[in-house]
Amino acid sequence: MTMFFNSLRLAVRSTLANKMRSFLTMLGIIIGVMSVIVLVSIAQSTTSSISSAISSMGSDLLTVTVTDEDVTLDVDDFMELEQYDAVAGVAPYLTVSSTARSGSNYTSVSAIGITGDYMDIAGRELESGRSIVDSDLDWRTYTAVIGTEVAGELFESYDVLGKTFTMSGHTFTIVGLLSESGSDTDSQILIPLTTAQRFADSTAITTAYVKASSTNTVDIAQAQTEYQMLLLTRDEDSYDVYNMSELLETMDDVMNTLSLMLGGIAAISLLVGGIGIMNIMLVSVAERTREIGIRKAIGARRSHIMMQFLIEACVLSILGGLIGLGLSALGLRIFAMIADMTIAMEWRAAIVALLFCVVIGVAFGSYPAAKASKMTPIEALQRN
Amino acid sequence: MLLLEHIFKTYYVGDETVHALDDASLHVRQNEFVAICGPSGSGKTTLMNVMGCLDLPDSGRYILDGVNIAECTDKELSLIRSEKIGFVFQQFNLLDSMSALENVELPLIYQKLSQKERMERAKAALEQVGLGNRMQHRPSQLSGGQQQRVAVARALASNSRVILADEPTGNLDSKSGTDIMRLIGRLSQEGYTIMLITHNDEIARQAQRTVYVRDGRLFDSLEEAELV
Repeated sequence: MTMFFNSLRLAVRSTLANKMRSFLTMLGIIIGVMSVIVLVSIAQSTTSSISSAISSMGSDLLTVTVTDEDVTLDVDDFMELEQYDAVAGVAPYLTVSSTARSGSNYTSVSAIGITGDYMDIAGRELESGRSIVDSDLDWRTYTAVIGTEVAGELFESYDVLGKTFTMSGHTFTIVGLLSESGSDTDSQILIPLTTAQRFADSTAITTAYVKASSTNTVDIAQAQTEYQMLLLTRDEDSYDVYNMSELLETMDDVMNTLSLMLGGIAAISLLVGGIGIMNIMLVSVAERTREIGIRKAIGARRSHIMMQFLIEACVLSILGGLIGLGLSALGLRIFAMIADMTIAMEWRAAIVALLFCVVIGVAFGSYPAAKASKMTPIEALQRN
Repeated sequence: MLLLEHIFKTYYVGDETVHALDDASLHVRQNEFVAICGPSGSGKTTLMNVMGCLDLPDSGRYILDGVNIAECTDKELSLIRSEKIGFVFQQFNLLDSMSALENVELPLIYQKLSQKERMERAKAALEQVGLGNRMQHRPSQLSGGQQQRVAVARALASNSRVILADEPTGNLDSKSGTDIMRLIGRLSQEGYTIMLITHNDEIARQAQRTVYVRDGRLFDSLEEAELV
């Protein structure tokens, strides 16, 4: 144990004695650890924010999308889905991209034309005010329910009820504020479907949410929806019906593969860093041949010499790993600030990366260490 | 204490064969001070390497303090070097990255002594060679004579009873050389067994007995050696 601490002290000292060389050697490890942690953390955070956005909509929800531009369905066509027993509600909607202005503030938004049932079916909640109601659709009013991010951009406050903004040349009055969700729905503006249709200059509807009567009947609702869409379009390639939970699973799979791949690529750079350590350790062994000879002459065993160089390699790689860990924490914070999202450090990736550093130190340190320990004392002493 | 019988050691340098030790036999008793004298290339460094267990002979028997060296494993040889032999080299062979105290402490680390005991012994050894006030100096901050005294202290600290000195004054000015020889003489009086390798007859005369080396062979007197 004393041997171990002495070797450790010596290793730290010789690492500090050649600061520039040690740093350059560690750079490979630092970059490797940083890329593993940063890439995996970003991938995982992105996944979880998208997943939570999808799952907040509920697992009893189906989305229907018409993909064929020649098929024009209107609201009533979609409402026919309500005749099925497994369907609890239908919410056709229409998305229009536009720019909202208030005074000198403006922001690009997705304006979504909705029916009175949309909020309930899509699982959206109000922070304050009221929702879009059927009479708004009847009168084609210029009323709007806005997301928190839109409120922030336009008014720099959440106290927006009764305030107005302009969009596509019309003045809208805000009647409600959506609860913050942390996803892209925060930058949406909900308006009456009929108003949106006027903007789009078309009554064609291409998207709708279908809510199943319960989570157990989602599959039945999906089959019934697909049947109805086939009846309406007479072409099974012209529409898609997605099950949200299915979508979620697919996305999780894709993102897991992606972060595994990113982690793998980053791990390769760690490996390259390890080769750098081996290289510099070989140089160090050659440089310190005389030292090895002296140590052997005064009683060092093979195992002592072996341990000394092995510990030195490990100190280099672990120190590099820790610096990499610190820098990735810093990097993630900066990235989160720039990209304006919350990114948590992926601790599993950090632990795996650090363990990998230890493995690299031992694996790439053992060859130079073994080489050093096998020198005979006179061979080592005679070389200058 | 040391018994060498019919030791042979041959090196091959390119096509040439060098008989560095050619049927060398030597008996050194405990507390003896023996000088080994010979010109360079005569094989005296090889003799020192064999006696110091740094190198193994090709054939012949070497018994150190009752232990047959030929039968030792690598690990046992390290232990013998650590506990029975103290080296003093011509080039001092101190580690530049460590203070005088740490250099002296180093062999004690390999003997697995506690920190406290190491410190006590290393300090005592440095005081014994008159460097009690230079313990924290690096070798590069010390004069040649002082560095060699640190090397002697390192040999003493390990509690070895045999000291092998290979041209200890070779890299020193005459004043420091005299000091080191005086120190070695004192150690001899204190009961250490000392093997001193030198090519300088004057220094060899300070020993109780001189062995002459010529072409790898050992002779008891200069006249015999000159006949070769």
